[in-house]
Parts: sequence; structure tokens; C-alpha cells
Amino acid sequence: MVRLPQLSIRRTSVPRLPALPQIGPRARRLAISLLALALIVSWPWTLPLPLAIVTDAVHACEYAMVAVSLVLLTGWVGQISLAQGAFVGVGAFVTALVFRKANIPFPASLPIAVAASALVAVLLGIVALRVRGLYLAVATLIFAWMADAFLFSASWLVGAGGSASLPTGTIGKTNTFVSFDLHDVRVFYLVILAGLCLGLFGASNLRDSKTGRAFFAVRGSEMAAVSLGIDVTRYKLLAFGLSGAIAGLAGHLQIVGDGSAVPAQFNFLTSLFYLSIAVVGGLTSLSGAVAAGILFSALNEVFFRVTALNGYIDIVAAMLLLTVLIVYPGGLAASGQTLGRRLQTIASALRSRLSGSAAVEALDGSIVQLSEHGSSRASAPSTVETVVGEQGSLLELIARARPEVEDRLELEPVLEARGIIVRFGGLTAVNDVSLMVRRGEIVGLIGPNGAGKTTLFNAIAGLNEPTAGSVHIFGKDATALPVHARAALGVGRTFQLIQLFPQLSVFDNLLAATHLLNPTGFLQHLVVSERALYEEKAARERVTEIIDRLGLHDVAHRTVSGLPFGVLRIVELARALVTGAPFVMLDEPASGLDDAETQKLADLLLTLRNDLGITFLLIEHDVAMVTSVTDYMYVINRGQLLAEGTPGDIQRNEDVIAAYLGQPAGQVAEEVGA
Amino acid sequence: MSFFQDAFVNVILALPLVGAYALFALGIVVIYRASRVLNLAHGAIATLPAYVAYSLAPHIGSIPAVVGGVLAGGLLGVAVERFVVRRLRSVSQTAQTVGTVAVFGLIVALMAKIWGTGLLRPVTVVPHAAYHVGHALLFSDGLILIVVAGVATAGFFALFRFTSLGLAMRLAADNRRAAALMGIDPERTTAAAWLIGGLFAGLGGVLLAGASGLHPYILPLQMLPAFVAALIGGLDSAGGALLGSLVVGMAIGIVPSLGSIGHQVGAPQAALTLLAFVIMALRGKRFQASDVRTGLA
Repeated sequence: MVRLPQLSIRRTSVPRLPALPQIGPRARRLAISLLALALIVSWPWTLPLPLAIVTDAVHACEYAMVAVSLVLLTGWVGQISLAQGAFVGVGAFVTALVFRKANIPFPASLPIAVAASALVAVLLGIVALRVRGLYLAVATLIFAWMADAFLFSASWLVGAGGSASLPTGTIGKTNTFVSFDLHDVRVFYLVILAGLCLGLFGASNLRDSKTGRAFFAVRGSEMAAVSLGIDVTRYKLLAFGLSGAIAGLAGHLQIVGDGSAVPAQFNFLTSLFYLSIAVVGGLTSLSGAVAAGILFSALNEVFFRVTALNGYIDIVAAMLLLTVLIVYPGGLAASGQTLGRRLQTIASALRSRLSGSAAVEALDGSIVQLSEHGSSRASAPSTVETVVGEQGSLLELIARARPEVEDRLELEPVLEARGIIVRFGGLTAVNDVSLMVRRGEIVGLIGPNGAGKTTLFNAIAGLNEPTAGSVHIFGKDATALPVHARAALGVGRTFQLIQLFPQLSVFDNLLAATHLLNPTGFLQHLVVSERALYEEKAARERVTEIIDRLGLHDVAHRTVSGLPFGVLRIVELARALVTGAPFVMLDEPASGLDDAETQKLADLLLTLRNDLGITFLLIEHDVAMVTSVTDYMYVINRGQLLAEGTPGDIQRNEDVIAAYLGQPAGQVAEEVGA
Repeated sequence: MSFFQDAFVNVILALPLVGAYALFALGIVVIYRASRVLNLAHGAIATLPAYVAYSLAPHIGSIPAVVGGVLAGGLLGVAVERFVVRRLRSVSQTAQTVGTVAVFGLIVALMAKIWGTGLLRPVTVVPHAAYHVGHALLFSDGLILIVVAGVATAGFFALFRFTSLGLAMRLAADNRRAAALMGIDPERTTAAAWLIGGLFAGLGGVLLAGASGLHPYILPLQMLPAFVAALIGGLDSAGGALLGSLVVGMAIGIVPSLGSIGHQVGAPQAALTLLAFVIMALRGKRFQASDVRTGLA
């Protein structure tokens, strides 16, 4: 967590305990890490274990690698894959193919095999762009079936006789220092371990980056993701490509280690087996994937060794998967976390028993934390100038406060929708509506139920295609632009049915909204470049600012699902603010809020407009709220523009009153009288 | 032989497959409509009845054994819904689908353990015989598959059109909550759907085993094309599933007679995959709103 600078300034005034010498724990951690590394690398030679155990470790690495590829695709991006075995198979058979045809041996064939698997996965991903959920499951199932029946039966790929072979050999010259004899399973263990570590390194770097958050956003709500400027198509294909690459690496190393491969190794049953491993591991956790890989490999060995258990491995594996699904959905990852927490509790209890002073220290620490918390509340900036003064980043994209003008026509247009017509089949939902929002205004769009407000809204945002009409955003023609490109022009939005990313914390939800502000690319995230780190820090600071400003500290690290409705509305507004968009569209922001909450929201909108100069367009049912905050209003009924004007004009407009009450006001009175 | 003669023979030979796929695809569709679950365990639910019939036949004769096997399929379907799919309903659709994957693995592993992994000669209902249809030779096992599938399909549509249970199931599939308000117990209609799905799977499994042999790994995978068939019909249309079965069966019959490309191993599967993907690309939507059931809306 990055703290606000002003917090660190305050902290100096709070009496603090002398800092503990830093060298102790860090040196200890380094030593433990080095020791663990040495052990993981050297145990096949140093420990008196049979070679079969090393073979098991090789299998564990292979399982874990494919499980990691599934964690990325299914766990993070939400794209279920029943064809992972096919990607592995492509990696294996292409390795043999390039050796057979072009005589390219092991280390050189690695990038070719990985690229081939990634390519096949991206091709499947292109289909996946159009389908989701169960249809995607069917698509990948059909793909696995086709790979088994067609691709892996083709003699050009697999080779004559239905089996591909690859002479296992050596890397480098024998009897020189740089020589690896891959016939030795211990040497091969190091190779596949390196492959697994490579996969884990890349995947874990991505998880904590802009790319990873875009993945989670796609899983959480594609509609919200595009509205934050995330190109869903791009990130889905990227996920398929990466997942295919990791699975292909596993297949490549598998055939390098085994020397041969047959199509039956990569059929649909194998894909289901890999999915089982990933699910047992927890599906979203990398360490869970590794643990599950080790577990399944160990089970294999045990059920093979113990005669009484022969033939029960598949039954137990299936039972394990069912148990995890029904009884323990978090999988091994969750049990690992629980165990970790327990161990920590035990360790701290032991420590406090060993030294009585430690408890006092811990208590003091919490007091410091408490007072820090208090001071941060007290020092929360009341106006935006304080934020700007101390941070200087918030307003880079946001214009000055609204200038005082006599006539709104003097203001520069932010949104200009002209002659919008939306037809669904024979129904004309929006018929020739034009509206304009000018810089620094709060514009309201009201109308009875079914008037076409949300349809018009979506046409402006790009979620549906208008039959006719044009949309200009900040003077640029956006009519033909996809949603994410409109977001890049500087449009933020909230949704009538809240579209937050349910599995993420409030903080991470907001962090996902820094997508457009972060110019770094996927490769920089993969290797954690200096630039990527800098941008990451800036993004976190920005989110912290918004959280402070909207008073969301208390819920910042809580998962979104389960928070009260009113808070969710504010979080969604905060997310739109984090994007830095100078123009924010709100779809019924007050629906579901009580009167006090609605009043608070109205005040907040006015403050944001006055202090930050943000322009708002809001759809609202609550006429009182709209008339109290807006500068200008549009009223639509039955898809047509009924009236426009200042709130005062609108309140006096006979047509509007009729539309809301069903008939002219006078007539109502007459009927009541009769 | 000319192309047409060749194709005709292949089409006749593929007819039993069409029958089997129709039985499987109808089961997949009725289950999907009731539970919004893609039952990936369908192949395993189809295969176990064939083994049950195989084991019962020496004791009670082949026709009662086949009936027993098919009933076992129905019970299995109900059990899968009751103990796995229903429990995972509150988690997510993906969890339900993965749950059926686990059931698939469990049933296949149990069958492999109990009956071994060799190819067994399954029960046959009718004496082995062969009939000439033009140049094609149709075996009695295939013929009975066609006949039974036809009768069962007619019964399926009659059930949904003319009985109150069928009406209740259609209502519950369209709107679970509204159906419950109308006094329909959605748990019962869902169980009925899985019962029907299981019975049809069992019927298809027993008969397909008669035509192509009994193996714990091969037979469950032989019904994968039925998923393509169900998909062609849009997953939720019984009529569409029938049409899909016809398309899939015919493709498997005709594609191999299409010159050198068609002769390649797996060419029908490749063609069908392409067809399925094109259908999905045409039908799919671009964006998805987050699931209302997550409780955020």
C-alpha cells in the first residue's frame, strides 16, 4: 500500500518507537530464500531418494504449468477452457514436427512450439470473442474434440504411425562443462523447473499490473471494463495467447523429456484432468496451481506404488474435485491461506510468551496506527486545492472550474448528440433526439419509464448502434468509435444496475479505472520495468486520493460484494472519477438510495462540479433531485424530445406535467371535481 | 461407385448415428432448459446404463436388462442434479459445469475400475442380422437404433405438447420464479428434466454400445458430436437439436466421400467444428453485463 505523503508528514509528529534494525529480518529472509532455492535445485542429487520421485517432480512441474495456464485464462479472465490438453498437444507435436522437417533440436524449437500453441489458442479465442459462459464451454469442448479427431490424427503433424518421436539428447558438447544430458531425469527436472518458474514469474508479474487488472475487469463485467477504456477484445486474445503459450511450453517440455508422444495423451479426458488440477488448486491462485500439481503427481505415485490402491487414482481425483467444488470452493489456495493465518497466530503467541515486551510493542504499534487513522480523517482535504497542492496529479486531465457566464451557449460543447434514432426491429425506442452538454454543466435527462432514456444513453456511450444520428465528444466525431475508444476521449460513466467487479476490493475496483492513464504496455508488465513500477505507484496514489476525497477509507480494502447499496453507488462514481474523465455520465445514480443518501449524492455532484470542473450528464427518476442539481434539462417521452430548458422552465412546462401525470393538470382537477 | 452411390451408402450407414445423436442431444437440451447447465457428464450417464445392461443380461435376459439399464440412466441423471448441480447453483454456472466434469470423471473411473478397460461385447436386443438397402448393409443393431430413436423422439414431443408435466416444465424453463408463483414446484420439473435426460442418454448409450462396442473411455467420448448437434439448434430448442443431429450425422456420413480432402481422418469433425464456430460467431453478442445473480444489482 502506498500512503499519502501528507500522512507521512503527520506521522513524524506522532511519537514513535525507535525503528527496529532493518538488517535482521531482511537478511534472515534472504538466507531462507537462498536455502530454499538451493534445496529445490539440488535435492535430486543430495537427498537419498529414488529416481522415481524425481520423475514425479517432473510431472508435478508439468501439471503445475498447465494449471497456471488455466488460472490465467479461466481464473483471471473468466474464459472456461475444456481444450487445454489440445494446446499442450500442439506444443508437443510441433516440437517433433520442426525436428522431423527442419532438423531443429530442443532449445531452438522451444519458441516455435510455444508460438504455435499460442497461435492455436488465439484462433480459438477469436471464436470466444463472440460467445461466453456455457457457449464458450461448448466451443472449447468442440475444439478439443476436433483436435483429437482431426488435428492429432493428421500424419503431417503427428508423423507416420500415429506417434511423434523426438530423439532426446544433450545440450552442448558432451564432456565439456556446458553439457546437459537430458536422458538424466534429474537434469531434465531442472529444465522443466526453469520452465515452470518462467511461467510463474511472468504470470505473477502480470497479475499485479495494469494487464492483470484488465483481465479481472473483463471477468467481473465486460460492460464496465469497456467503459473504463479497456479493449476487451485485445485482453481476451492476449489471455488466450498467453495461456496457449504456457500450455504449449508444457507440451514442448513434455515431449523433450519423454522422447515421444501419442495423440491419446492430449484428448478431451486430459483437458478435463488439467481443469481438475486447476480447480483443486483454487482456480485463481498461482501457488494453489503449483500445490495442486504437486498433490496430483504425489497421488499418482502413491496409487501406483501401493498395490491395494491400484486403479483408484481416477476415482479419488474425481472425488477430490467434487469435494473441492461443493464443500471447499477456495481449493488448496484458500486452505493454504487459512493455514498461514493459523501459523502466524501461533507464531505471534509464541513470540509474545517468549518476550513480554513484544506485546507492549504490538499494542503501541496499534495506537500509532489508530492515531494515524484519526489524523488522516481530520486532515482530509476540504477543498480540491489542498489535494492539488500536495499531489499535483489529480487534475491533470480535468479542466478548471466552471466559468460564470450569462448564456450557456458561450460554453464549449462537451457532448453533442444530433438526431439520434435507435430502432429495435419495428420499435423506435429513440426518435430523432438531439442534446448538448456544455463544459462545467450538470445536465439532466428525465422522462417516464420506458421513455428511451437508457437507450439514448447507451447510444451516446456506444453500447448500442443508433440507426441514424451522430455523436461528437469534445468536438471529435465518435459515432463510429467502439465503447473503449469513446472512454479514451474522456467519458466516464456509471450504470443503472451497478457494474462493479464483484470479486475485487474497492481499492482494486478503482485501480482498474487507471487503465487509460497508464501508458505502459504488456511487455513492460511482464518483466516489471522501471517505468511500469513508476506508473503503478502513481496509479495507487491517485486511487488513494479519490478514496480520501470521497471518504471511502473504511471500505477501501473490503470486497465489493456484500457492501451496502449506497456505498456501491459512491464506489461506482469514484471509479468514474479515477479515470480522470472530464465528462461523466450517470445512469440513475439515486435509484435505490434513501432521501438522505440522495441529498448527499446531490451535494457531492455539485462539489465535484464546482471544485474539479467535471461535467455531468445524468439520467434520473427523482425529479426533485434533478431539478436541484442541474443547470439544464432534457425531457423525453416515448422516444421523443418533449422539452428542454432550465429546471425552472421545465417545472412550469405543461407538456412535461402532462407526461408525468398522464393528462393535462386542468383536466385532472375537473375530473376530481366531477 | 459414383459419388452419389458412395454418398448414399454413407448416409444410410450414418442413420443409426443420427438416431443416437438425437437421443443424446434431446437430453442435453432438456437439461439445459431446466437447469441452465451444460451437462458434460452426459456421455458418462449414457455409458453406465450400457454396462448395467451388460451385467444384468445373464441373469434376467436381455430385454429386461436393457430396460434396467435405461432406468439406471434416469436415476443417475436425477442423482447428478440432486447431489451436484443443485448444490452448486448458488456458486456459479461455471462451477455447475465443472461439477458435471467431475461427475464425468467419477463415473468413467468407476466403470473402468468395475468392468475393466477392455472392449466388451454388449447386450443386443435383437438377433444379429444384416439388411441390404441399395448398396449399403445395415445391421440390426443400427436399425433398432433408428426405430427406437424415432419412437422416443415422438414421445418426447408428445410429452411436452400434450401433458401437464410437459407444460409445467416448459413454464419453469422459461421463468423459474413465475412458474413457482403459478404453483409449479421448479425443483420437481428440474428433477423431471434430468430424469428424461438420463433416460434418453441411457437409451442412446445402450443402443449405441450395441452397434459399436462397450468401452469405458471410448463410448463416453463417442457422444461428443451430440453437443455440436445441440449447439446447432441453439442449446435450448428440441427441434433445433433434432435438426442438428441430422446435420452432424449426415456430415459424418457424407464428408468422407468428398474427394481427397474428405478422405482425411477427422475431416467430418473439422467441417463440423467450422460449422459450429460460424454459427456461434453469427449468434453471439459482443458484450456481457455482469451476472444479476451475484447480488450486486
